[in-house]
Amino acid sequence: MKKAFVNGLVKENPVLVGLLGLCSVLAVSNTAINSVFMAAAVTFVLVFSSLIISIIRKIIPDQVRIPSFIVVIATFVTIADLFLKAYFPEISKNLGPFVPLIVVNCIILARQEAFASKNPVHYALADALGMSIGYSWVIILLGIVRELLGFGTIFGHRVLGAWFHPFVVMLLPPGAFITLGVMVGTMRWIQAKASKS
Amino acid sequence: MNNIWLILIATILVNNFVFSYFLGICPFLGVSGKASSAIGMGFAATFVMTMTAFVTWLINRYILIPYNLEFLETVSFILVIASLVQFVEMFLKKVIPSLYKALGIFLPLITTNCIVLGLALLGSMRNYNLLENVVFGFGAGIGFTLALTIMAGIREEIEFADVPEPLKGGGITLIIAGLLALAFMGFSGMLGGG
Amino acid sequence: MRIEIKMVLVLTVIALISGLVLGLAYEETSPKIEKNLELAKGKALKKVVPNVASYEAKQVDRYTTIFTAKDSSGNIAGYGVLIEGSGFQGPIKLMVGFDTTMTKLTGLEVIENIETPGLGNRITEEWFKKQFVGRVPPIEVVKGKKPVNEHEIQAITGATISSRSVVRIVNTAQSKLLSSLPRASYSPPKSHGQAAQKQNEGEKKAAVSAARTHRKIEKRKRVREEKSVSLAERKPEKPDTTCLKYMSEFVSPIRRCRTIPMPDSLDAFLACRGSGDSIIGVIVRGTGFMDRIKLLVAMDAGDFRIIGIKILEMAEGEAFGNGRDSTFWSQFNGRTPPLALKSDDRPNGIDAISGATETSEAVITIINMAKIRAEKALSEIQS
Repeated sequence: MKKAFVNGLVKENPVLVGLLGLCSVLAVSNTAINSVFMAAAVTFVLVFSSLIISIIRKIIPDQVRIPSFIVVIATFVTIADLFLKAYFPEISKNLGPFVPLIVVNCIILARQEAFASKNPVHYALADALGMSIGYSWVIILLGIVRELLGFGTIFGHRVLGAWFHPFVVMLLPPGAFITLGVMVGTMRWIQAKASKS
Repeated sequence: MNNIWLILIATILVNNFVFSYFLGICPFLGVSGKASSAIGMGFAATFVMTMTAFVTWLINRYILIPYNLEFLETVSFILVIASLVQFVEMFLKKVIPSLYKALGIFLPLITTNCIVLGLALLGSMRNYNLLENVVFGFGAGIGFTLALTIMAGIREEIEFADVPEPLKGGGITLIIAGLLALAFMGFSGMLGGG
Repeated sequence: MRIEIKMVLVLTVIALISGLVLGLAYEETSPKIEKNLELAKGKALKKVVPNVASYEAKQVDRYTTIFTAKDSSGNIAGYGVLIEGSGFQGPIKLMVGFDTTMTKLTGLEVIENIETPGLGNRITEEWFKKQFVGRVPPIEVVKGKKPVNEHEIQAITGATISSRSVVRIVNTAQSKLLSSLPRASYSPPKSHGQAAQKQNEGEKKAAVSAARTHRKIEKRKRVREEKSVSLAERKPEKPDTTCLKYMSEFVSPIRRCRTIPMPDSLDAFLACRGSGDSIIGVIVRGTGFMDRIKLLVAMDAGDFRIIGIKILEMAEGEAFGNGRDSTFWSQFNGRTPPLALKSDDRPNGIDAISGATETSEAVITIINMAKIRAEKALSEIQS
């Protein structure tokens, strides 16, 4: 069970190693606060979908498992979307269509297919939590880096002084791609170092 | 007419789904170095996306909005897309087997591709009419094909390049995507205030 | 149980439960979401129009909603136009505030935009929005220098196109406002202003300038000369020749012709025909799709029917119709502004130049402004 949890954090990190669910990671990580809310939404959907799928895994016929997974996921995504719209309208506006798009986030469907539908509830939960945290730390770190370089702020607080000239490109799509590319490379480099020693 | 051209050019170049909304990233990064399969995947997606734009517009306008069911948007769109892909697959298999052979293997991959659902959701946010929405879907598909083909061509070249070990695979692909996105930003000026 | 039946059954049950759960979630959150939307609209309206206690909304078309704002005693406090137009990256949604006369801007709020962060996105910055307060549309964008006239706005460095888009949307907002509210609620700034209306901000100004018109023209010119820098660039005052030069195209023979100087160096001309009826020509300018457009619009001084339009400056794109299509321009003749583009609910509107809807819309906005300026000019000389 511990292994199921730890896997997603670094070794099989869904974003940096699996390169899954990149669409939301790249799109909303222009500020740290957006990243936090996206991470929370994905965590909510992943944990609850895994829970439900794992519970009902034995009654779902194999032929209709994908549509069933999708409906369960879409339900939780819509709940998350409605919740954000009602209680955090500003954030919901910033995240735009990327909250509903969690439905097709490959991480979530992949975890249902590969894990939750084959394992008992407590394993499925551990796996979902591990993967969520793996996703969350990457998107939040990316958000912090991009916001710092793009605005000179972290969570809206000015960190870099007036001398700093913001790199607008960090807030734009190219900045997202390149920063994530560098993060993926760094991760591989650290892992290679670690396995050598 | 003006509007239609603007939507088409905007979705293909200026607001390319891959480079400005990050939709369809998974196949974009995973695409092999073969341009032919990139084009196959692209056209299959374009086909499905054009159909999706048509069907989801009708569902939105005649079912979801009149009955105040907009909160079921995500669920219904994703189910429609899944069944549409199934239907297209069966239809092609029966009616145009040659096309099925060319595109068929890509079709199942498209259901879980965020570009199709993204298209449906972005379309419904934009208040387009039916024709505009279909053009929006078609243009987005062509833009996706373009991005995929460019990436496949570059991947082919990368095979022979001396990329630093940690950046091989995902890293360098993302950085290339960043440079391409930068290049596509150049199209932004094209439409001016359009 | 047969597998097919089980498949259908399981999927149906899952879908039903999903629908039920979502229905409940929606019930729970929808009042809150509605309230958020209303609050956002009301908040934006309160920001752009002063003293709003209540408001009525009227949807004009799929991009525009007009709010009639009232103060606590039930009098009209101003108007807000919630309008969507295209920016650099995608749609921009604005709330534009107008005073009770519908001529002057009282504020601007950016409701939605997906402009480039750090560049076009700066249209949401306070200094940019503040610039619009007190301006009189049609507004124009100036680059690199401080705006001097009451219709000028300074562009954001590096985001001229986004700035221009905002200006274009603001100008459209005014023409939509003028053409969609009943004529009764629109009273031009000076001529009929004294009617039953309250002594509000706009009217006070009207009264001041009406008093000013009593002074001799010469003196008025001197006052303006001190106020406006751009006046220095103006041609030497020879009313007759300037007026004749502009007006001879529309009126012949001209018996009398005189230039009416306007406060922002865009003059108006009054020409009398032999028969005694007079034609007023006004120079108006505004922002088109690519660059600014300057027109001379000649109208009947009695009922403001358009007699002719001359293009003074126009540099629209060659590709999307450079706007010189004569069938487009001839449509205006004989009609009285405010006009609007032809649409489903406006069958007798103006046909756009095919391939240049933006340009056509900009032209109509400018022509609608011409009428307001003509009324202003006439009230100046009447007093």
